[in-house]
Amino acid sequence: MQDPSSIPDFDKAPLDELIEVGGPDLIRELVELFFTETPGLIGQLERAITSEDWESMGRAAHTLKSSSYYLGALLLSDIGRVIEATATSGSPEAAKNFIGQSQQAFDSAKNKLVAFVQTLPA
Amino acid sequence: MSSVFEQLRSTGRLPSPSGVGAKILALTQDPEATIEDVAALLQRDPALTGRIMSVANSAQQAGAVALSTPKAAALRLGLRSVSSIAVGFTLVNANRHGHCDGFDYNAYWSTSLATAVASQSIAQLVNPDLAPEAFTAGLILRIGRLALASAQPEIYQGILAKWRGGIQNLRELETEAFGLNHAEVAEQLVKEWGMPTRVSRAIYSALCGTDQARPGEALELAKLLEFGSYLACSHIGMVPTVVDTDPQLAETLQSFGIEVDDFLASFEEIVRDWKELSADMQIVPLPPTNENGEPEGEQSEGQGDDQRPFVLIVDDDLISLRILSNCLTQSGFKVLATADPKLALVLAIQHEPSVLITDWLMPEIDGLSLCRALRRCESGRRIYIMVLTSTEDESACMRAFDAEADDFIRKPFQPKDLLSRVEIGVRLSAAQGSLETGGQSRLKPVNRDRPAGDINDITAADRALGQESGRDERTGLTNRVYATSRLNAFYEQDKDSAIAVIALNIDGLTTASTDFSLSATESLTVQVASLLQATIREVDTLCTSGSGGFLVLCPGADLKVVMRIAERLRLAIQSACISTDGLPGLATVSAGIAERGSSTSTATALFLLAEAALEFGAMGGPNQVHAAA
Repeated sequence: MQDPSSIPDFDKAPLDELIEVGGPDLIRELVELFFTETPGLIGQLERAITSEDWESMGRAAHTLKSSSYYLGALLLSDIGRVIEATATSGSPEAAKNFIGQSQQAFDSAKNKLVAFVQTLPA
Repeated sequence: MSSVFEQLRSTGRLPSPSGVGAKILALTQDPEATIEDVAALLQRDPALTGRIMSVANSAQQAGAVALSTPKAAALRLGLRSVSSIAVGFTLVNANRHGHCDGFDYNAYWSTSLATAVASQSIAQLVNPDLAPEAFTAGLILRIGRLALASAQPEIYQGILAKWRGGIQNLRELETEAFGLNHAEVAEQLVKEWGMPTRVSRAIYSALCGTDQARPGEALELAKLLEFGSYLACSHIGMVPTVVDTDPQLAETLQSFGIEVDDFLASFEEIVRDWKELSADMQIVPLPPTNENGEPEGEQSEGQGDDQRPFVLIVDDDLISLRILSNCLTQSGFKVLATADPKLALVLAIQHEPSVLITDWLMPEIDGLSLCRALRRCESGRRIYIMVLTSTEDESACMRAFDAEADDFIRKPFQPKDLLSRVEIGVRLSAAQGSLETGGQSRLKPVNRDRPAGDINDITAADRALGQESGRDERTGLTNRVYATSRLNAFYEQDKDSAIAVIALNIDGLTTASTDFSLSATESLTVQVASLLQATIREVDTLCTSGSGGFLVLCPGADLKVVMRIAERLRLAIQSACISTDGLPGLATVSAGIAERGSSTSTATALFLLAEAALEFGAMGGPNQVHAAA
């Protein structure tokens, strides 16, 4: 399993592809959704580790993995991938460390996305 | 105008309140009528009584004791309001279907119900006295369109085909064809029903623009209706809901003096009420159609876009859902998107999309269970189903095909790749449709890859044999055909009472059926059937499911009660210690349960939901009960 620390934290390529499909308005809307939805997913991961609900942890990590990928938040997406894998592989305790990193990765992605949105045409 | 209206009336097909609604309306014209007379009439229609009680209780001051009798409700609301609600309610019941092709009756009522609850809730925030009237006026706001479609279905079908979106364009087309438009018809009709002039005037103003209306009570109601209609067409049922980022909404709230937070709290209630009311009225609550005339309007009712291929999407990841929906809409598909797999099941059965794109991992019902559930019914077998997932499991693709999915796409998907595969799906779906129309065999065999003599085939044969008698030959139990008709009858007769369904499978029997001899299967099924029969309540009905398992109808049971019944059945089989050749241990059963609710407004949907819960629960291991909560 690749260590998330070797992954670049942000890549605008997925966003460029989405602009081709839905224009800058779609990006603005998705970024808004990402900002609203992600804290809930991270919260679900934190609650799941406390209550040892590995199924819920796996599901939240699964969603985090794909939704952050679309927004170019590659590090956060990869953290989601690792947490999902540990939740389903029978060693979910190992996910604790990565859940701690997810908030930081989200904050960093947020900054990059805010800057990216500012470059979009009105 | 009146002579044109006379001509419409002479068709005898204009909608009008009937039954108890018409009688209550007549009472309001009688100066001698009392509240007792109204309460007595109301008792003859329990569903209507329920609605009136609910409106009366919602119009109560906060903290007041809830009203519990129709008379108290009628006293609280007054004769006029009760009459208005009765009129609206009986109209829905009498006009849920019609003969105008291109007029989507379900979508019409879904939007009308959304307008009714939204107008009522906004009134509750600004002027609670207007709330009951706002509900009814919202419900009948678009009645002019229904009236024209009912009186002259062929002509109205032509209008809808020409309609390019926008209410003004629709009014012009109507005036050209009939000499009057739906706003004028609505005003006239509502006046004729004996409703107050302020209601008919408010409806006309809300439809034609409140800018020109004179100040007064009618204008206040008209503004509420205009806002309710805007919410119904732009926000209610929209996934994802982004009400707090809409500048037009913020401006309207400011003009009403409503705080954004108060509105957002009410909005959740509006959506809940709309879904509940839709379930009560047997209407499928559909996402909104933009009919306000903005050029970007994508899905106006009857906009002449019926030829566009229809794709239904379900994904609990809102970002993925939004991307999918945007890609497909931009490429010319008609799209319905939802994050709720239970709602997707109902929408798929009722609207038969060409293609269903479903995420795999979703809470409560996953994509494969949804797929299997749909393949159990005729309409579901015609849909091209694409399963979408970001799983890295190599065998995932095979598992999706085992569940009879047609295609499998990994996330993150490339939009262009996805689009070309959806186009293939649409083409295959259309080709299958034309083969079926031509009386040829199905493009897609239902039982592909199953060994000959598979229990499902045997059961299918049994099912065919037993269909006419409504009885399963081996167990002597009634079969699914009988159960469906019984559940349908219950839904028809009793619009309010609870009912739940248990779907049961003997663990290991249906999935590893080749390990069993036919006689062992029969003997096991018969033993389990007789134990289940002895354990259910007297009011419950046990029948065979048609796929090797069982269904139990539990009238009066909600999810809590049916969970207890299902647990009792599971324990009864476990403790009976039944063993048979081919079964590694003692026999156990797994169960899926579902109750009647907003997403199970038909018998078929309730059965399929229980079976989807069973499939989903089975992944967690045998001998379990799983709820589609």
